[in-house]
Amino acid sequence: MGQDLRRTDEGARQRGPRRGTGGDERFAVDVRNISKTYIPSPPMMRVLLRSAIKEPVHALKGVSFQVEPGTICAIVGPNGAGKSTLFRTLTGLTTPTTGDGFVHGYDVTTQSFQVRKVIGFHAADERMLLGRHSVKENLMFHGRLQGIPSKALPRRIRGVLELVNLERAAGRLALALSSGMKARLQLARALLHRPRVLILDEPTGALDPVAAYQFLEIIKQATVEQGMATLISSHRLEEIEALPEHVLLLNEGEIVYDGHLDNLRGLWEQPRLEAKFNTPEAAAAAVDLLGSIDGVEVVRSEDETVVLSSTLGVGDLFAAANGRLDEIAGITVSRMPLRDLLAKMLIPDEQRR
Amino acid sequence: MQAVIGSTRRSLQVAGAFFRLGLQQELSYPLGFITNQFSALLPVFIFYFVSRLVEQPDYFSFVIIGLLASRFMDTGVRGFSTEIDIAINRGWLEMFLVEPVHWRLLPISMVQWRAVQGVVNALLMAAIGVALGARFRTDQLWAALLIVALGLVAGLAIGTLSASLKVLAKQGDPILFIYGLLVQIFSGVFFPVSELPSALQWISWLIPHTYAVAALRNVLMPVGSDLPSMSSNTAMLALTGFCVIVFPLSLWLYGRALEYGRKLGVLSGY
Repeated sequence: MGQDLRRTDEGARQRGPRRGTGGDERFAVDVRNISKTYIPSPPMMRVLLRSAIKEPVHALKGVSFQVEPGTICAIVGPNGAGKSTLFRTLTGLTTPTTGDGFVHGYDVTTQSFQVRKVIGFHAADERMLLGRHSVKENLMFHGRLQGIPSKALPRRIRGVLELVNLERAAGRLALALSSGMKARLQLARALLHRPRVLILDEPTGALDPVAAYQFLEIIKQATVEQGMATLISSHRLEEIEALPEHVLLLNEGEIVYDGHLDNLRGLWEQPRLEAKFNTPEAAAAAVDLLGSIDGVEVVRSEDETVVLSSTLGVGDLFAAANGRLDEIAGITVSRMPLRDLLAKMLIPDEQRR
Repeated sequence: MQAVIGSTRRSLQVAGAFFRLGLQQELSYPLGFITNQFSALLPVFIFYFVSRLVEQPDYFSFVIIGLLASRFMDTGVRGFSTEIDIAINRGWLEMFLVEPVHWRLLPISMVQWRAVQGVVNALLMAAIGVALGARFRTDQLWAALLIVALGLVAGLAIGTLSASLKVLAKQGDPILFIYGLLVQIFSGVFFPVSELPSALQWISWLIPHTYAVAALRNVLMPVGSDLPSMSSNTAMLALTGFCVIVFPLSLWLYGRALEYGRKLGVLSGY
């Protein structure tokens, strides 16, 4: 930590947020070719701490992306994709092995102190709350560490509690809150100092769907109102669809896709066709016929129903079947579920079958 | 100048936040506070009875002063390490490390409440000791306070060295384990260092506890006591030297350990 501590300009920070000088100024988060390799502890260190890994683990491999202020970027990927390492790198809890990262213009490696001043972090672990302390005390403690002036702190706390709808729970102990309220308290803490970048590591993991919906609405509102860049990771795909602006798909430490969710669908999605036949026999015959057509994949077949994934439109499909689908009773075209879309992108064909 | 004032104000704000945190934690577990105080007072009663078997008339005062000095030193030695332990096990360390707080401020900030506890505990020990017959001089209280302050910083230096290992190793405390053993035997808390075999006495002079104990005895032991003590000037000089050299060194090592943990990615593990 030595270097970044020496470079700190305490006086300047007291005057308020000031844009750092590195990275592209248009972006609140500017990550350039970052790689992170976790190495096993050196043999001497193993006397102190048994290493969790035996071989080097390449958690991030040349990751580059940017996030603009006032937008939400959803980070999606399977377990071990590198999401948490990415967040740890951006919050200064670990350093990249190679590459550069800038948060609000501050270098995440050498200006970690300044970075910590401009980020709000919601960890996946709710233990980061002070359980035996009230909601208000949790926020007071965080506010003091953030350097918020004592006179302004109560007003800020009232504002942020109102935003996350916890005003009436201000005096309750954090450990007595429901999971939804704990998540909102963590969010309140992350927002209290008005960060420029909000990092949310699986914030809705323990929430029921209604609480998760409310939580995401707050995030959307705060992102726009405060002009923050928000990075959120989640395993709940319906949530990702509710945050459609910018999706970053990570797999095995690499970015598989970076862009708008609609564009992702355009690139990978195949329309889903659900065809209903008059008899199960007709459906079975259609499976044999349709399965042999290029660009058509039979996803599922049950009784009279056959579900297809097809690069062909309905008209082209009928043309390819050459009039042999005469017992069809009806056909429905639907969007491919995001879950299937991601599986198609991330899992090799032979494994999916 | 403004930067210095701003930095000082900010440091005080952080220190205040941690002090309140410690206080609120203590209020959350009142029974824990009471039992801790009582267990720390136990040696006073034990040595009251032991002193009745010892022919030396001032032995009870001698050992009470040793216990007082040791209590202050231990606050520094064990306080930060214990707080780091708590933070690791409760999942707070990660939270502290993502806050814009100089990591080197943490040792002093996190140990404050324990220092207050140590002072309260020492005052209780002294009061009970006096009630049971211990005698102290009171004409050099300022010197005693200075020795206590130096002892705390010296203890914190050792505690910070230990915490440097702990942020990487998470469990186990080899530095405190070895130091604790040395203190029990060689620091002169329970018997004069001169009673040790002369071939081993040099070990005593490597331990800051020995100087704090000796110096406090020099200023608090009753006039006329013939139990050995050391000139308080010599002891304070040795303690100051230790603080000036070892405390910055321990902070540097602690910073290096955090930086190394950051590189390895083990700061938030347990």
